[in-house]
Amino acid sequence: MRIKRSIVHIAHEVAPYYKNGGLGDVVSSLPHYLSKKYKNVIISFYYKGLMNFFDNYITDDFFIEMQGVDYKFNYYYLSKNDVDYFFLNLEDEQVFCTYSHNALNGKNAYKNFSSIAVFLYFGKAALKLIQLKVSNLAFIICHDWHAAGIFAYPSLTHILKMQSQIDFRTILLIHHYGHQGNIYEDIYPFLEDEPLELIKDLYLNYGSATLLGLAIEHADYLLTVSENYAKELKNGKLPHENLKYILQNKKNIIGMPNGADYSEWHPENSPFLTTNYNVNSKENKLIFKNEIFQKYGFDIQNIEETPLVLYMCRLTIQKGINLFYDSYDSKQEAATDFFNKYLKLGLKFIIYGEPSGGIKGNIHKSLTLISQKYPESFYYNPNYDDENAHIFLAASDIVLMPSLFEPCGLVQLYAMAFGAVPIVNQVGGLKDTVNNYYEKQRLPTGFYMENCNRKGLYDTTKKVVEIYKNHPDKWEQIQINAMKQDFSWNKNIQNYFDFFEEIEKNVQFEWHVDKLVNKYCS
Amino acid sequence: MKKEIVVPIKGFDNIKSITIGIFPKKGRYFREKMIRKDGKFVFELDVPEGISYYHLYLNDDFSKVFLDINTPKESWVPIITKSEIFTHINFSNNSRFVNYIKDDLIEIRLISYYTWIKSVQLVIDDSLIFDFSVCFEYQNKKYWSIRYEKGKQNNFAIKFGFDDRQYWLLKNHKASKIFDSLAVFEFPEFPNKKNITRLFNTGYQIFPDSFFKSKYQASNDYFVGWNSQPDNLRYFGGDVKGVFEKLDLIEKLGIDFIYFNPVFHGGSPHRYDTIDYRKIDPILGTEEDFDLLVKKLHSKKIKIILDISLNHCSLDFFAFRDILKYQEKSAYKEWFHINSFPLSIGNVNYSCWHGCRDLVQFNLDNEEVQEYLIESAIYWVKRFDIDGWRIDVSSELPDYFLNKFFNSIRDVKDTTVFIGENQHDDTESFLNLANGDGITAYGLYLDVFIQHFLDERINLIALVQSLMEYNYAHSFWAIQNSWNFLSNHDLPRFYSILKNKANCFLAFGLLFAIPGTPVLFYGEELMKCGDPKDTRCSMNWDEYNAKSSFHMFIKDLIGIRNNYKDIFMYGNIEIPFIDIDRDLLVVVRRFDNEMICFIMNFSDNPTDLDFIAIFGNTKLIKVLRGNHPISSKIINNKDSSILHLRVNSDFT
Repeated sequence: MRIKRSIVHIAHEVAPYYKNGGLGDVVSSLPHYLSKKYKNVIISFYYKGLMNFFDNYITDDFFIEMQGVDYKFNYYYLSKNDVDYFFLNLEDEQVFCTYSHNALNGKNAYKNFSSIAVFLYFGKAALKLIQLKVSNLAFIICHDWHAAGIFAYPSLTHILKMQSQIDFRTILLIHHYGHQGNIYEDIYPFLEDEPLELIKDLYLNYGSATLLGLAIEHADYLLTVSENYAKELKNGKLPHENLKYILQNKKNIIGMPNGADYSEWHPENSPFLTTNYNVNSKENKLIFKNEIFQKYGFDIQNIEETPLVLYMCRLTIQKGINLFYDSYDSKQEAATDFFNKYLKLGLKFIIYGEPSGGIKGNIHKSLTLISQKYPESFYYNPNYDDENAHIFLAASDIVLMPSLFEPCGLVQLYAMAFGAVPIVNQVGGLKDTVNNYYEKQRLPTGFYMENCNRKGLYDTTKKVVEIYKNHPDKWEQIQINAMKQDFSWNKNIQNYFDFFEEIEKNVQFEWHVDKLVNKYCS
Repeated sequence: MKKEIVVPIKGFDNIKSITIGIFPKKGRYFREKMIRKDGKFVFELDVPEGISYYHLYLNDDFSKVFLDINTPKESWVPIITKSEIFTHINFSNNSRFVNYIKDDLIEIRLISYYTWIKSVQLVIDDSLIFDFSVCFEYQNKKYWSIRYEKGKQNNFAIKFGFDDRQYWLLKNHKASKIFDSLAVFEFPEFPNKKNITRLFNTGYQIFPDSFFKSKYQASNDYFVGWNSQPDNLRYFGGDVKGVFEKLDLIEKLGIDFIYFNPVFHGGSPHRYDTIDYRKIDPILGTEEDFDLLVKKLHSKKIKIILDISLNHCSLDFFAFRDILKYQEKSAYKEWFHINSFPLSIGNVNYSCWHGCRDLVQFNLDNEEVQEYLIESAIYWVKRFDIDGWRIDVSSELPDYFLNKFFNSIRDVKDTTVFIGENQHDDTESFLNLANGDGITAYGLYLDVFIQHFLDERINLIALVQSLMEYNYAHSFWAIQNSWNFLSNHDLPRFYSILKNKANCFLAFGLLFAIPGTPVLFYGEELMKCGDPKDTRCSMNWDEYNAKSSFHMFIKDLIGIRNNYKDIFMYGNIEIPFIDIDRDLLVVVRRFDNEMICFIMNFSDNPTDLDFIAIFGNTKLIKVLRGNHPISSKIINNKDSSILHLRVNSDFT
């Protein structure tokens, strides 16, 4: 039997042990699916007092030198479902919690809590740990900027290659370009010589430095979570800072769509649905629709002819809240007018998600006002949990995702699986995964907004509602198409395997980065 | 530092242009059009390291300020180009960490970032080794300090660690197990004594128009009724004689200086639009009135600080009027930045402050302007013996000019104090480059007081940490001379925006306990004065009650600062006890063996404190406020007990 080669994932978070958002979920599921063909190792931060489901681990330690001082690093090792986990912490247990956890939670608006040195030291320790614990290394995948410290010590990477006599490759997987880890010159006196050299070079070349920039500059390959987001990054069409790291060095970025976890997020497997269903029993959706109509006091005449529209996400500008109404208009009545226009289309509206600005903000206030004004048609709930999310998806006919940008997007995948037809803005992963009704080359599974503005969202919704009401046969076909789509990891993981295979084929002989990437992406 | 600002506008069809207004840490405010591309507006700016600010204007409408396209608000977005340091020991051999406190007494401070660092030592030679002590500790960080009477030795070294892990701190911020020439630091030269003699204790800020209208003030059409809402356009009619009349009341608070917002002839109630830099505003009174006031102040040992706007003046300032009249032929055309002739106010073709057409900005590179402003200030010092100056928008003025301005005035009166208005928490340029004394402590206000008392974003322990961060970010003297405040004429009155009004006593207690020079804004001693919009409201003399518990409290605080001057002037700050479950905090100011101890109970219930456990080696000299901590043990809720302690020499 061929010995599996190893992939090491370096990431700030991994579900279920410590999770801030979607990144933690992907870092949890991707290695699991990759382990069919590779040995997977995850190296992450140990956050004392913040870890969940954390037991049956073994601990050990090692020393590395930083700024002339020998520091002890502790690690916590556990193995689960074929994946090895190492959680690293400084002997000084508070440090990672204080700097990196606080940095991610933006504790104080007037202070810069990202302490770059901490992320560099984490990277240095991770490389040391790989040297100690990982054999047969094929790839190191760095997930987002927090893990970019591994690119700051080329001498260690070199030693690693010499010792293992294997020419492994490094990959940066960009989950979200919007967060980068800014580096300012005042930290120079406190950095080690090697990272300092690289950071100075970055400044020289780009006029600024971020950890993400460092990773982009030094990774062998760049991946991101959808093909279209990759394209948008290359075209500079995203509202992110410092796109120059990509635009100027012209490195290619390859789109690798994330998978949906259908073991939970599928009407057939959902643990929260009282009646499970699939494409052949989709009429069961009505059970949930009825339930919702009754529970929230929507009027229940002609329930089948009244589409239930769901907008479920964090209610932020990025997710398109502003495309419904002028969310910066302090007159909350204005918002009711906008939504009234939607309700007049003869639909029921659910908005579900945490509002930007919290429950003291404008968005929460106006949505609350609307739900008080139109209780028979409009429901708003700012407290997200998975159970409600499943039930809303099962009950809905239409799901809106008018995001301004979206690296991958998951809700549209869930919506399709649950038989709710998505209306999306044609950006990022949304464009890749939803087939527009008006473009006939692919089986339609949803709708693109005609224009990314308030009118575009409204007009599209209006047309979609008309099709729903007047052409049930067409509607059913879209619904069936959507439910039959497969965006599972089982399927999508093949992209990774193909990619690795291509690289490995070449690594054995000679190294032609550009040729390979061009070939793969053409 | 280069920083890219990106404003996404997808979905906002009505936005055709965005102008960004930038308020850099150092230099004048400016506006630039952002560049539109691919569904966003982009602007790359270059700002100094530290805290700068920006805001946005949409579609060339400069009447409405936005923080982002979703948030219209008269405010600023901070641009932070400053790193959170992480190392073993943060120390540099400069005035931020090393200072002469009094005579040869030197204070050295540093921050350690690892809990395993359990000792830090000051090594003078093999026989002279002293331990640093920890002023405060939170999470991985420790804030250390030591005071050392400097002898003949000129060098020192710093050793840190625990047990067998001992390291020498090196100049390059690295560390070594072996002693190295890089481990040798030199004590700084003994400074001139300027800071020490200039130090003030407690101040009181008067906004002259709103303070008191004397009976001598002639009634006037453009005066509004004393109790109406301030609108920044019409005058209440407060005058110099009014201040003179009420001086006894203010004096009783125990303050040792009064800071007046501008008193020169100006074009509006705030008078930052100066028309004549060498004349008292006629509405305020005459030169003779002012002379009497200053003499009375000085007879009561109260110093006087004036506010001067060196950056901008009124449209009616003589030189600007001259250009309006003679246009290009005017002898003063180089005094301002005129973009094109003919100069016209309607076209605003001249440089003005933050886009405000009424405030014309001087060309401060022009030597005639410099001379004019310097001579103006010298006139006031010579004629009225003014003790100090508060420099309006000092961060926007060139350091070399400020330096020249300060030196010229100090040549006339060498004890003159200069305080710079600074919203960027930047003492460095104002003190080190311009040679000023202190700044208005916005950093303290924004990062410490607002965060805890208003936004309730940080708990008690994070409050103290922010306070220590602030203290360790600036030199000892910068902190001591800077003005600590909870309200001023540009901010909403603190009490009016305070979340939990019961915290008022604690907030002011803390303000007076910590290092720095507290400055009361007029009316604050009444606790409640004006709603959030009425910062510059007229003083409510009808309800002026010097016997109210809050008024007495403020008076006590000032009294304590006066009675223990050395402790508040030279003392350090220590946090010997903090309990966030019981919301109990102890702040100690200490100099030599003397301590003033503030036991602050932030909770809703009276509580007690194990006094002996915390202060076992001290002797209670006097209870200055509150109950006796040993006999009655009770510390009132939402209040402080204040004690005078002496370190018991038997134990030390």
